[in-house]
Amino acid sequence: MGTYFREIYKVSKSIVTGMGITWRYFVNAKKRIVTIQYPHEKAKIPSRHRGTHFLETEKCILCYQCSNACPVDCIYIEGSRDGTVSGSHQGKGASLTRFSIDYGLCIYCNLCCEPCPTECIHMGQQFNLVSTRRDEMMNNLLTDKVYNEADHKFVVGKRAEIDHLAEEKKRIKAEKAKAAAAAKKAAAAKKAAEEAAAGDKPEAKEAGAAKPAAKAEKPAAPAKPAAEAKPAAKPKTDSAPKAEGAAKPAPAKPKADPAPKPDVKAEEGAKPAAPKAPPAKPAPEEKKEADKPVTESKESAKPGDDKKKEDDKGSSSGPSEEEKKS
Amino acid sequence: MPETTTGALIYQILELLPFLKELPEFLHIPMLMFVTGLIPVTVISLVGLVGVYMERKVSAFMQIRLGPMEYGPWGTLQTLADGIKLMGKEDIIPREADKPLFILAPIAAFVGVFLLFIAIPFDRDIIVVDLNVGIFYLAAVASIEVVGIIMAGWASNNKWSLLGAMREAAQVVAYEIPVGICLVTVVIVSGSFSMVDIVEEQKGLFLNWFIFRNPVMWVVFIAFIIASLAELKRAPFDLPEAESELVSGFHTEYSGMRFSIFFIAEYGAMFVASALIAILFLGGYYTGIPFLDNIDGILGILIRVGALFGKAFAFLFLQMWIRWTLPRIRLDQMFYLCYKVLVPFGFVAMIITAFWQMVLPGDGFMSLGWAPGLGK
Ligand code: SF4
Ligand code: SF4
Repeated sequence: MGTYFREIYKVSKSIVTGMGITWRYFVNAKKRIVTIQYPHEKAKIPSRHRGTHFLETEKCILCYQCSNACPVDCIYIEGSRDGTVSGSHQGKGASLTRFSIDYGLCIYCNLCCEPCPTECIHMGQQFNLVSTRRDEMMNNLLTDKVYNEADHKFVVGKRAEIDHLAEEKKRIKAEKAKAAAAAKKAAAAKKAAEEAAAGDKPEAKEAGAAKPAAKAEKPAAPAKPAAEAKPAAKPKTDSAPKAEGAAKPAPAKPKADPAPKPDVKAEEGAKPAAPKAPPAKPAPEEKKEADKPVTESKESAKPGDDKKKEDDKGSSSGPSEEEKKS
Repeated sequence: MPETTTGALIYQILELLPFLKELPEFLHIPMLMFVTGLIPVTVISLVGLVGVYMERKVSAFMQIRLGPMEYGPWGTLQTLADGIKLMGKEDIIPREADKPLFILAPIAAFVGVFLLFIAIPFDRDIIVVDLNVGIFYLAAVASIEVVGIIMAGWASNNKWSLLGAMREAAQVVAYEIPVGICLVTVVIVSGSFSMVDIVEEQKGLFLNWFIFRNPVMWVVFIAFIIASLAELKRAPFDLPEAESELVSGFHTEYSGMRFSIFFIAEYGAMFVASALIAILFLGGYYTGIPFLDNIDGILGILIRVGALFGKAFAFLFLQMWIRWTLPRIRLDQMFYLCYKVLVPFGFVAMIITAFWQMVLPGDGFMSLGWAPGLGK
């Protein structure tokens, strides 16, 4: 009999406790509700989310690094570095007629973004790729729309122009190469002029690279920019430690202040550092910060560029202060 | 047949709709039946709409969700949209099913609920018929829904349906005993079977309500709530449609409009049970505040009807609250609760009430001098 009443008491108590819990949830529902009304409001997507790509077309140098890196070969790039193709999108020293990714194949692995020398292709935030047909999965990154019939017609139509441009370039290079070869012979004859020839060497190398380029048509294009890119990249890495300081203008000042080293050398060192500083890829974690300096570097590499941004000013103000102190 | 009070709804309707009298004689009764029948149907449908919406919101909030939000402000039209969707669905009857029974079953279930509404007083005069055996009638008619469900389970020719229907039959037959005991206790206190008389007996201050009439009445009250949950096959007594065991029990094979009729019938029955709890124990359509109850005219009617609906929806909420808190109990636990807990407790409470009524007849606590003669 005792257990009978004890059981009834226990059951009643547990029911009351449980109902209390649900009551608390019910009353505080407004504060606790976790539902996100999806199509109307969206959850915050983390900044490193790997959604569909977006391309900063004006920075692309058409080097094919991304499509080479892609493990499933779903990036399709066409264009020319040899001149301007009419009606195409302009990259940096390149005309792009096609830059599309087949999202039916893409595995969102981020491998295409890593090798890009100018960091112009990124994984974006967009994630809902829904389509009823397979060919709608092809995205045109130049327009950020589906790669449609008209786009394809344009791409096919421009192929002849691209070939033509390549041949033009080949012809000019071949002439140049001949001239360079002649100059080389002349230079070889003059042993004393070896020092002067050193300055021409890069040109000679280019000419040398152009010859194989003439034989193999397409691979030539990536090969050449690669050759160009290498010398460009080397100073970057060299100046990296300095650049890290320069990318963040604030720490740059204290660095410069306590360093009243040999006056003239400090000035000289600082001045070249200023233009070089931005190009160096700073810590890759700060992508957003890093993006801007990269564009500037490419543009500021050309002296007398009108586009000067805040960061540039910040970095240039560093040496100017130094000058005052010195 | 039972005599009816002069104020019964049927006669009011005759006054309200004079054109009924102009119809030929032989049409009087059918038209009257039709018009009076419309009222419970409307109330059941509306209660079904509101109840389903409420159930969704209550369950959602208890589970930190939002519930329906798309149609109408805060999803208020969602139930309506679902109803329209169900109407548009294909009407499927299994090939091996017993066709006439299969079609009749939801109608039988709905009729059971429909008949319950006839004896529910929404106000002194707003009752379809004030039967002098009101409670007796309710207890009898409440079982008709079970007939519909057993028909559905048998006609579906599906083992899940049949098992569900058998469980339902066992459960309802078992729980009719505690429900009957509770009703008898109320009748002992009120001294009348008529629903209106029972409510009138509780007029005045809320201490007059039957739940405060004697020290054991709250036991009867709780026993009645539990037993009515079981009769309604609501969680935690939803064994007949236990989703995890029986797919969805007796209505496994039903779809479209037939399914929604079962659904509406269920919510109608829930409302009746809630209203019954309010009527039998908590003063029915009286608010428990004398000066509010004594208001006459249309305002008074509105207050009283509102009071009944308010109490009924409070118990509807309680049913939902219990459903979203407690897990389903086992079959043996269900019978244990019925035969070994509710029945003995009910009996003891009934006997104590009977003696109390013998020794201290009248207004319960009021006769002890707690609240002398307030508001009567
Ligand atoms: S994310 Fe991976 S699979 Fe997709 S395009 Fe880039 S490299 Fe190819
Ligand atoms: S790796 Fe970068 S620069 Fe090279 S083609 Fe791809 S997007 Fe353009």
